[in-house]
Amino acid sequence: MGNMPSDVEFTNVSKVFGTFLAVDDISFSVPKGSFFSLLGPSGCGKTTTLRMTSGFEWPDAGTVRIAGQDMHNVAAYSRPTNMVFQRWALFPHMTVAQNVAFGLEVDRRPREEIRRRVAEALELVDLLSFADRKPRQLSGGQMQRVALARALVKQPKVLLLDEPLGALDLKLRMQMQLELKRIQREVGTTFMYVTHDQGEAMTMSDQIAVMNKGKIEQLDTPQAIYDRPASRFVASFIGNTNLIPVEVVGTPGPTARVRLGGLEFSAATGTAPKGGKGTVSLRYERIRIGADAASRDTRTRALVKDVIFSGSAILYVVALEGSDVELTVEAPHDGTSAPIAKGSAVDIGWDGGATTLFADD
Amino acid sequence: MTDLSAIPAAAASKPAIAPAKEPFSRRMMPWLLLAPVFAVMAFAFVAPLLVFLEYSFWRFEYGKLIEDFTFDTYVEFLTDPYFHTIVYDTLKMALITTLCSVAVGYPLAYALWRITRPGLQKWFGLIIFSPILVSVVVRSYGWTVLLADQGPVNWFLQVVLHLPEPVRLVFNLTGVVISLTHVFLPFVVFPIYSTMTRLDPTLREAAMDLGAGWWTTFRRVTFPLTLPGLLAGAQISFTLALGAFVTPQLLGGGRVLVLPLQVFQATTDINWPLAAVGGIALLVLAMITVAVSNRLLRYSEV
Repeated sequence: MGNMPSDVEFTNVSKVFGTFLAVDDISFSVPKGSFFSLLGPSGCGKTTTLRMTSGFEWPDAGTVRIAGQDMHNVAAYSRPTNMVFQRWALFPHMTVAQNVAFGLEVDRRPREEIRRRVAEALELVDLLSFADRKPRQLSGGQMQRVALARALVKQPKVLLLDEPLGALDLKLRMQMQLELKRIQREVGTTFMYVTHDQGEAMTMSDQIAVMNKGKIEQLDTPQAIYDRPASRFVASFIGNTNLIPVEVVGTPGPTARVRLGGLEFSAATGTAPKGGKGTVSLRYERIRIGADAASRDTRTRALVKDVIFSGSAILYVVALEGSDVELTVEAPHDGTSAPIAKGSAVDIGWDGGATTLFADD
Repeated sequence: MTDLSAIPAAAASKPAIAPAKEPFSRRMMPWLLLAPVFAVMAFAFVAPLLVFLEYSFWRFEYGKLIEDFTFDTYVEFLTDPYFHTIVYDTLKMALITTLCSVAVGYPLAYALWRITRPGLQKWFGLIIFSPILVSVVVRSYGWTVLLADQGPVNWFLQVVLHLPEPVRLVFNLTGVVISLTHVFLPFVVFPIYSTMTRLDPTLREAAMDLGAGWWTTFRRVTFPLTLPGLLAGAQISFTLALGAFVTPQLLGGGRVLVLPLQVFQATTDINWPLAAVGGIALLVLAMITVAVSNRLLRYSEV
């Protein structure tokens, strides 16, 4: 596609707090109208990146552009961005309608227009009947939607969301994820979303930037990140994976031959290891167990050491025959067959495409 | 029709479990801790107040006290323009002092809140606290020197600002207000400061994010949310000013006749009924202040 218009563009941006390098020379661009997530553990720099977009923090190096414009001396209150805060930050002394109207009143919009747009925004988040309530009379989910309406009513170029679902319980969080995605599709605004919850990022995003120690380790679609992690960190942070120490046979190309005890198999090369040792990532659910293992590229015998029932899936902890390596296998639970008993010997196997080789950190 | 009488019977068949009581000694603990305070309050506050109430019904004639039951002193106090002036002056002094305290205290509290360096903040807090570390007499004489016609303040006004003659700053209401404002500062600053520190800092960010500059953010978010602290500070300042005695005495130069001074004068004349009525008037004014500000506080709270 080449030159897709981007709403947010970071070029070689760094941010230092004292002696701590919070953001380390990152560059990325967020395509217009997309749902973009910054994902990583706490302290990885994702919130700082968001706050540099909103104008609450200033980069110590590099440039931030929003809708093509350099933001280097544009204050937070004049940027075409609006933010949904972690704990929502609703003004407690104002009603829901007053909270939503605040940004428009500050802009001195005509009264009639304010009334109309506030009503539209509350309609969008399904809270029109709560217009006259105070924030303390709302539930967490409702406050979250007010915060969303308050930010969206200003029709920002980019909507920034700082872990807005973090304070909600699990059921509500799932519901709000779908709701957010619906609203994003409906208004077409670029969403920039910060989260440490990989499931959340997967569900909603068009693109995810996985951050670690101030750097972006991988920027891609959710599926690409899940299937082809670019680093050992990404592989272990996203989804559930076995990290297996292996010996590398020969020189790795796009794929590499690796040896695990008496077992030799190929793996896609993520990062080429130096020397003869590396780590292979093998997702729980890509390993087949029992009869299902028969036609796989790599097969071996293993001993079932533990069985964990988790509802939709059964986890087996197995020890490979001929080495003391333990793997976790996730098998779907279809409710028809009994789980394999603890202590029994089974076949396990996986296909060549299921594994990725990384250099040790 | 359902037989309603069956329901209590069913309920009664359940084993009755009474909520477990705390041990006697545990329940008595708070009362034991309060006992000394109650004793002191009863002896040193309630009893004198009752005695005062009794005195207020006595009569004072030709330098003599007569035990009686009459409302004469109350009637005199409420009808004589002399006392009206005293009450009016007392309220005026308290009000001006409160307005000045708040006007100086609020920006100070704001500055204290915005200082991010903890070391600096500690020193700043100590400076604000310093007036109550100094005895009221010493402080008053200090102000007398500073505010005198030949004092440094007037020197500044005349030499630097070229005012034709010295401004009368002491031995009048101005001097009293300046000194009282000075000493009430910590009582005003700290309630305001504490509401500021309890304010969610992301609220200010949210306002700025929505396009509000510093002033709009202050006017529409920070100020309304710190109003309870401001009202609490104003209430303390007003009630303290109502009861101020030494400062109006030393810095008023006889021109600031407030209720506490009038009460003192009455006691030196051994006119106990008048002193008692004056004291009760002060108490009533303070109670009205507290009631009004509590009502305002309830409105200002979220």
